[in-house]
Amino acid sequence: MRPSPAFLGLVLATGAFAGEAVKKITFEDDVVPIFRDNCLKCHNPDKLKGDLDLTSFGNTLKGGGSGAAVNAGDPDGSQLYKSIIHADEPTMPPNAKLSARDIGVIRDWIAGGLLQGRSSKAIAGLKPAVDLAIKAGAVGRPEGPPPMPGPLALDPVVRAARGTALTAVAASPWAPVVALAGPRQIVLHRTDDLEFLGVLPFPDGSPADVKFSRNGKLLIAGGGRGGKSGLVTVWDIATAERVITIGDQFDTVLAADLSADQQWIALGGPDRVLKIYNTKDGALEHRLKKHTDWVTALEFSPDGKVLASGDRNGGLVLWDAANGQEMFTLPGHKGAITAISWRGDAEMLVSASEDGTLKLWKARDGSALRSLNAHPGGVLAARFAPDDRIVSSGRDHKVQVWNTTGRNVATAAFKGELPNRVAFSDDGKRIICSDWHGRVLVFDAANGKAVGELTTPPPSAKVSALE
Amino acid sequence: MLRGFFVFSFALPLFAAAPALKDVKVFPADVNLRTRHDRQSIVVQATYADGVTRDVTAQASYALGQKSLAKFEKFTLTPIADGQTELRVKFSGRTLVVPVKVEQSQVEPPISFLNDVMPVFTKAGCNTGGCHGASRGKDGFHLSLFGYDPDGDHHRITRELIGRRINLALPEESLLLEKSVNRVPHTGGERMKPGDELYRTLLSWLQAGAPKDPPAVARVVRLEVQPAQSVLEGTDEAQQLSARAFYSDGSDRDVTTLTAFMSNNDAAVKVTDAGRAIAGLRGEAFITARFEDQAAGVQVLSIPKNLPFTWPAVAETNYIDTAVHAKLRQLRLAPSAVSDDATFLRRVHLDITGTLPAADDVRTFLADRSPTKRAAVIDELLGRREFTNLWVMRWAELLQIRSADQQVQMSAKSALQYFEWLEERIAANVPADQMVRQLLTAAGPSFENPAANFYKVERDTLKLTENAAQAFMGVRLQCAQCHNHPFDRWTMNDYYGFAAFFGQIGRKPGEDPRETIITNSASGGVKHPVGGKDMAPKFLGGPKPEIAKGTDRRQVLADWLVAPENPWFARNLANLVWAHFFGKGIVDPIDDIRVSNPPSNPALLDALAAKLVAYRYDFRALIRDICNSRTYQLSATANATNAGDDTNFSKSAVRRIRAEVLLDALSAVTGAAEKIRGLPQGGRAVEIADGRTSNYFLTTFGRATRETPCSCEVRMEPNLSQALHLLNGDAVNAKVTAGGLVKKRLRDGQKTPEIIEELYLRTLGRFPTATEKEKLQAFFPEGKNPETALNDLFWSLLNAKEFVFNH
Repeated sequence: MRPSPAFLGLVLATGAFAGEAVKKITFEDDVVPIFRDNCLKCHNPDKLKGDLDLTSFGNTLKGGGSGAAVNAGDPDGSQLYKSIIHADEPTMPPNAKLSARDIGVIRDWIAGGLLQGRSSKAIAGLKPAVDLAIKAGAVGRPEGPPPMPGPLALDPVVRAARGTALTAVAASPWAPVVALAGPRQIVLHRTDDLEFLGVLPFPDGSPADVKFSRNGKLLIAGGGRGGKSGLVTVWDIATAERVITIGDQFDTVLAADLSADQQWIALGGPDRVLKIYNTKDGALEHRLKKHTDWVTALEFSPDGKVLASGDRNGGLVLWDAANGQEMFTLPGHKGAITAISWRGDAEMLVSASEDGTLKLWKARDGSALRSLNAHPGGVLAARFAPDDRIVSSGRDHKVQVWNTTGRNVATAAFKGELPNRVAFSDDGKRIICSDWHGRVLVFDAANGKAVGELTTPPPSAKVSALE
Repeated sequence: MLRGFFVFSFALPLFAAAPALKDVKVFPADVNLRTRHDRQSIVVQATYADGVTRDVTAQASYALGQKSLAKFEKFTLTPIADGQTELRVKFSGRTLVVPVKVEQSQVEPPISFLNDVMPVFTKAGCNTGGCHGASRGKDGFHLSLFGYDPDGDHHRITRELIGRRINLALPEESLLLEKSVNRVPHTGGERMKPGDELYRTLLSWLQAGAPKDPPAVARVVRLEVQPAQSVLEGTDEAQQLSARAFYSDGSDRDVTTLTAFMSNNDAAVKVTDAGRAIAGLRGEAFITARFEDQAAGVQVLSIPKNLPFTWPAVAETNYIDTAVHAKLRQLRLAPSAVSDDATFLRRVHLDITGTLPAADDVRTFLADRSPTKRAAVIDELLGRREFTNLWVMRWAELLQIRSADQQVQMSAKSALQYFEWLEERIAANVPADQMVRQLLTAAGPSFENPAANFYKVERDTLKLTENAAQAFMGVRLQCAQCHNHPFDRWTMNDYYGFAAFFGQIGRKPGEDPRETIITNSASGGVKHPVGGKDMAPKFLGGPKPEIAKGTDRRQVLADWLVAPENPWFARNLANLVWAHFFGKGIVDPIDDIRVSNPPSNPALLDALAAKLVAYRYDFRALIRDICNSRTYQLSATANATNAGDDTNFSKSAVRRIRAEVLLDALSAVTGAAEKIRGLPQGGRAVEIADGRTSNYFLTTFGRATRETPCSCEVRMEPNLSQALHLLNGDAVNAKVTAGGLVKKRLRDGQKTPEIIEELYLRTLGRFPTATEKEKLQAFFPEGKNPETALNDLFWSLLNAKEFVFNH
């Protein structure tokens, strides 16, 4: 019997509701969950339906296009309340009605004088715990030994009868470590002896995009629950601690990255807005409304100066990371952008698209260098090696290595179902590739031969090479 | 309240003599349970002597032969062990036996994407045009409209955005499920509930790894919905419907809970998700049921409870009256009285010949005492040249005889040749099947064989296919070009299979640039846009014929289309003829027959079609039957029961006279001929050969441009510009003056009352009434020249509704 695939699992009991008998009804404890489930998809700062933003206490009190939404102590005189009990137009939510319990909570909150919180605690844990910014000149290879993960949890969060496709695969640039993202967790393996290292739990949903920081010391994950919530988390891999949690999206985050100087976090998702946060205090610095469809991929340049972002409509844009100014739009893709990867010297980047092409671009002027018909049917993933090579996978069920002149230099002996994510190991010698079933296969990047498979969890045993 | 109660209690006995039970039916008539989770619900319907039906499923008693083989609970049979037995259904002293067969009762069937999952998206409304079925999807997720592309849907759900829509490790956390039950915010709201049948189907499919079907999976070949007809008496009376799908492997399945039901008249009969038809206001509705790519429909009538109704003893001239009366009795509608002679004469002249009766014709007819004078005048009119003109025009509309902007495409010369070809055939009474065969199989140079213009008018294979289906079969296929027809049974496979008959037409230019030579190219074909497969020709709603390479596919198509057993051709033609005489088709619009727009009286349409075949497609004979029927000769005046009816032919419909006929009538009664381009002085508008020819009057009154074969091209609805044109435009006033009729009559020494009488006869086809004569006296004082007043009267008559409408 083949070892069970990487993402298997048992679901831990989902967080139970907070204790009963909450006497004071407050915005933060009681109202926010109701708004989040029912209202915030439209009444958020990006969509701003009816000019009303219900994501924060302040903006809720400010009201919308038709004036104040809530009047303290007077539910029946509050437009918001009249809308949710369907006593007045517009009835809200548009196609449904809140449960009697939820309506009761909101009525009591208004009647109780619009309390913000039981104490003065912050709205959400958005503020970073530490200042991550790296001083100029220190970007790149860290001093000392390769940054390996410290002690990690060894029990997978999820253990199921069946695997599911991984949502992200990322390799450390300086250490033989690869991170595999699936529902509720990120699993770390060694890329040299393929050993299982441990688990970083992600109770917030599925991480859709995972990357190591340029110095290999941090792991960044953007993800969440589809249609419901999204955020970006950064771990210090030495301590397995979450050092930052940022973003408060109403759908999952699909793409995220941390700049090389660790000053900026960028994220994007189905709301089409590209956001850049400051890691110093977690403030949202730029809200960039340029993409006409879901933001599906983004990556900071290795020098941290440029941010590239792509969308589901084939749009590709380069931004000045520091001031959020648009530098170039890179036209040409006719299908969703599935991946963006920079070459180590920050001079060149590659974009992968469902239109079947890989396109190489010159970062300095945004000009197109080359377009490869890499995978007929669609390219699903692409990644630069530490050197000049690119690995890509696609709907033609192939995993291939290219050089920047467009020559196919190796083809992996991949025989699985739909390879959806690929990465190079830190030394550029191996390819790690996940497939639709959630299997993770390792190949020799020079000749394409199979090296082994990453399986979780084999508590002690190492997986022997397939050869 | 109290008073009402007494009235009710006294009134009750009057109606309490319940009509006798006539028939009891069980649906389905046989039960096949195959595999472990199969089931079959049972519906029992009773029919009473007055035509009313009742759902008596709950009142009937049931006895299962061998209880060890199956379980009968909540009117549903489920399997226990293999074998054969029977279910005895008893109601009101009658017993019906339903054979029950149980097979593979221990076999757990694998879940099928096509047969289990796809119906969920249709039933829950996910793939409708307003939601994910929209051409660009909704909120980033697209499903094919009503599931025309199961492979594409499987791809989009499982592989388009890997990791987003499904989660095979934690199936219940799949976005697909979380959205559908509104666990995460969903614009479409809650489409199903956790744990219900639809949810469980999706979940089991995800738990099984979201598999695609093996290529050999059984496909639905037919959907049957029962009972075919229900007559519900009283508001809130209900009838449960039963939907059953038949598969290519010979199995069947109760799909009532998976079928999407839709009523075309919610006010009369609404239908629940569970397939329960509930009566509302008086009227009739067709319930369309959709399961996978199949659609079927049933008719449900709603009639008021305790409606006092006595069927009047009315004569039946022929089979037409029999069929119409049967439907009217069911609906408790009485037909209007027969119209008077003058009304009949004007109507039959307009309908058969497109002309008004001459003054003397009216006088002679009204004076005639013969009991068969109506039949005699019908025969006489059918022999007139004007009858031919009218039907040549009608066919020219169907065939879109019209010159194109580019003379090479379709020159005025070609249009004229085509029109003359048509005229020769209709004048010679060439049977319609032969004519259509000549058109479909036309080959050779179009100047020599003008029928070849059929392939010159439209060069696009797909449009040609659509036009042929619409003109000769009354089917609008257009929707199925891009997706399965939303309100009919047609799939893209049907569409492209049918188009393949027109896929091998060769066209090359003749010597004259305006001429085209049509050939059978014996190569080429039509490709399905999904998958790009070259389609083998398949008859619409029929089998795939074996066609030897090189055989003209059009010949095969023509053989099938005009065969007497073809279900479309004769019915379509009969309906087209019927609509001409009643202003409304039995299927209406006449070229839009579909599951959701069935014939209002199927028996009538069947009878007419059968007759047309029996008459060897001589439509004059059919028209003779129609015009002689009592139904055609009814008055337009409603009685107490039929005022609200406009679909069952219980009274004559008042129709505006169509553009060409109205213009010709104005010219004829005033004696002022019209000059129309391409026709000699005095030529009539119905004789226009080229669809491009028009004038202000004809355009205003909705003449067909013949740009499409659609019946909607002829616009019959009255509007303001028409009224203003008649009142103020030069059509009426100028013609009254130019014709000089009044002046001529005065010069001939006729007296005012004689002239008044003639004006009435010429325009309205009747004598002025005593009241009219008396009121008119005031306008004609002794000693004053009556010319102006007579012309004013003439003008007034031509502007009267009675003139502009056929009634």
